[in-house]
Amino acid sequence: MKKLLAICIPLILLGCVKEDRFGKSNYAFIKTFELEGQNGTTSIENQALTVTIPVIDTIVNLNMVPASITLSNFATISPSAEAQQDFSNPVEYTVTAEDGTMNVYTVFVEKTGNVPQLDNSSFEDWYIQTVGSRDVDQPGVDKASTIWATANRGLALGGANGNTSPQSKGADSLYAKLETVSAPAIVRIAAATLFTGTFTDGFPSISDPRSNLTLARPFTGRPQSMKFEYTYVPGTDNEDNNGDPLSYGDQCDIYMFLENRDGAKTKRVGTAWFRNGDTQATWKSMEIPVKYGPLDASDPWFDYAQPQPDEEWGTGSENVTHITVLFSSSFEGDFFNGAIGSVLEIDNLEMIY
Amino acid sequence: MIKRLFLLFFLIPLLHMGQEFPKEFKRNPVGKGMVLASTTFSVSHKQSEQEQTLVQFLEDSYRVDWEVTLRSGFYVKDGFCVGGYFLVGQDRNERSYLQDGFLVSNQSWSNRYGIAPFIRNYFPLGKGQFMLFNQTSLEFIYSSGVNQVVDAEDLKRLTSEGYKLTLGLQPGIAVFLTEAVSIDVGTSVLGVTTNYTRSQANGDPETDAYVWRNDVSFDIDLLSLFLGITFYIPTK
Repeated sequence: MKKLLAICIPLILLGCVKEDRFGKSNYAFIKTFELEGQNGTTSIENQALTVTIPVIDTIVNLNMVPASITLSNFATISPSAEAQQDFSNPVEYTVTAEDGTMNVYTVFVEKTGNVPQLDNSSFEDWYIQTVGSRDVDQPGVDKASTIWATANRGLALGGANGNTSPQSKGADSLYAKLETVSAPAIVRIAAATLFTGTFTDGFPSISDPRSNLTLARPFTGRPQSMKFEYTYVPGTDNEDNNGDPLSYGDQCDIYMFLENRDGAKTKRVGTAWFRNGDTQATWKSMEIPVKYGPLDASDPWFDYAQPQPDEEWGTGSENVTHITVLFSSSFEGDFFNGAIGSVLEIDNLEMIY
Repeated sequence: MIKRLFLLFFLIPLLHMGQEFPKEFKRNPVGKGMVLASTTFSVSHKQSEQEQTLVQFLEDSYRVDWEVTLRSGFYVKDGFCVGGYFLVGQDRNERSYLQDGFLVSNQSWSNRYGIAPFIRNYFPLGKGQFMLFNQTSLEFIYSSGVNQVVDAEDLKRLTSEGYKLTLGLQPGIAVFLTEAVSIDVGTSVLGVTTNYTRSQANGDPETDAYVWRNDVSFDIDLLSLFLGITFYIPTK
């Protein structure tokens, strides 16, 4: 019996794999940091170990509990994320990694007028994302900090190049080019899209491309309109997913939703939409007014700008907490309708107050 | 369906009990009263550097899977053995690749051990140097594993524990080198399996997940052949 135990016990111990078999994490970073009343994107500098948060200048009391803090996996923070702090002065937070590595961040709050702009809205910053053995362009400085996303990863997984890319507009100036292309497999086309949010890190759904997108970013401004520069040249043959010709031409889609999100409840506070199929071969500035509250039947976007399935109309007076901006080179790209070769170019998106 | 499975797993082996064995050896190695002591071993290894796969370019990779089984049984009748076995195995897989300019490391390690009662019956071929055998076992396996990915943004770790119960049919052939030693080659062809796995990501209890899977399969996997050596020991 003793011999049997002598054999079995080491084998049983061998069966349990230690959680840190491959070593402990040395990542001690703040990934997100949000405050109530924030009116722009948090800037997190992991080299300088600073966090800068813009808030509305009408906020008097900055003695508050952070709305949310997310850290590197296995990292802890001190003082606690649930502890109230006076953000009228810089506040230090110590983040400790699983292996004991420590980073001391300083959190600064900047009061600004409630006239926020979106980060990288002139599309000057791009980084390279490696997908398998293929590199694709993505807007932003890096994946962790960007507020923009594209469907380029999905195309790369299918073995194709991305169809949203940076282009040079002269010295030190880039813009975004979106082109509807032939899909690498299964469906006929892949419309290009550029939006505020994230594209799935998993394997993308082909039957429901919209489900791959998580739209919206924190935002508190109430702009009167959105302004952008664009060119658009629709492809010649607008066809459905079977390759059958459609009775209408392809169009670009550019829209913005201002939302009030409270838990799982999302109210549409404001809408601006530009859908157009006219050829615009040279750069043109376009300003689209924001309509606050429900759309009327007389509104030009009434037919297609209704709330999404998980969204409802607000009155228009609610606080804005999130923004969705989306550009697409083919307005029916969700349904794989579109003209291969439709090209939308976008630059200098601006919120007008 | 249940009746058919019962027939396959239990009645067919019993129908062949008591077969006559040739008298080439001084004693019947699978005769009543003999004891079987056996071990099987399987291993798979792969190592590479600068390898282009279908989906990515691997800077380097290393994989090794192995499994050892220790088996013992008693021949209650000529050609029919009742016993049990213990198995231990390990799967280890490491690869690194460039992603967004950062060398990503993806490592996984899984250990498993199991026990099983079994019955085994033999069918002699020719003069008795070769014997087909058929083993039916009820196998319980516990496994524990960890997968860790370190990329530019963070370290992601998935831990898992699995419990697997398999009623399986494993035919094979025994080549008798002497009346006391044979080399066995076998494979699994039929199994009724229930598998429960629970996992947790990044040490966060909110990510606790489980997968419960049941399979009735009829697979002949020639790549999963196992090789073993068996000793036949008289008890008197």
